[in-house]
Amino acid sequence: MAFNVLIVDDSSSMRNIIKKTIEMSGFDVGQFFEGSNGREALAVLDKEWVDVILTDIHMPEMDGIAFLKALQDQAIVSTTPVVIVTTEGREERIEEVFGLGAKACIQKPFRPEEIRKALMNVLGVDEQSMEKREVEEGCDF
Amino acid sequence: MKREDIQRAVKKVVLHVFEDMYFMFPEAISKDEPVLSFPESCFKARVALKNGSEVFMLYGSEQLVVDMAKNLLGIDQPIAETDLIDVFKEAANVIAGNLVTSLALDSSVALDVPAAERLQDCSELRKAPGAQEVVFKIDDEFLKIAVMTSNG
Repeated sequence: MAFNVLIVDDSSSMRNIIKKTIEMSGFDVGQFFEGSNGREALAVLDKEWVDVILTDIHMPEMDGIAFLKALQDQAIVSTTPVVIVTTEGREERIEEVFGLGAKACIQKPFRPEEIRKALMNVLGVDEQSMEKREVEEGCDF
Repeated sequence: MKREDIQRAVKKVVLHVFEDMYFMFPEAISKDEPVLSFPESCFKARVALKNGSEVFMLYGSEQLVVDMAKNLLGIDQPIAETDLIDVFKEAANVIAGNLVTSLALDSSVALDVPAAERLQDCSELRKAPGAQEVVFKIDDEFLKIAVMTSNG
């Protein structure tokens, strides 16, 4: 099954790095969608089906916290897992994003394995099926 | 916040971020060590704290920012000015975010959105390092981090 992924970060270079990391991780990705803040991400979600959202917190216009609250209001957060990718490591902040429905939190700078592991967890993909796909497609991670 | 605590945290965070994101190894330079020449061309990034008095400033030589971008993006072609600014802005964001975590600042203190630009005049780099500044040498290139507070 191919997953559609939405990456939300105001840094285009960070969006590229996350995209490359997911591609290299061996996930079957249908389409990547991008937004540079929460508002743009909500516009994507209005039009497209997304299986997982990776979002930063510190962004202009609509930050990650306001975005999570909007997802909660629209009940999207209960059906689409959200992974926070942020510079924040303070416990209170992490508790806050989990309280708003985020399913995982990764601190920047991250290692590729952290993204892979978080996506496997939230998408319910096990190591065996990832390995099987890597063998079938010749992925090297 | 003690000066020594800030300096220690800056050194630790910069080392961690540059190793993990850019595969580069910064070396902090002491005030008495005139190892580096100041760059003629450089970038500046700034991150302020909401509900806090600190402002984080980053200054990097143009070649350092080009090398950071090439290492981060994994490309060896010329990089557009907008991408260089984006990479340096994100570096400031990651360093400031990790500093806030490392210094265990109160949770009401949040990072503002960072801003970065190419400095037309790099003369402000020549000011003698203040108490809250750390200068790094990274592959013979220049990086300066300054933590400024509204009360000096």
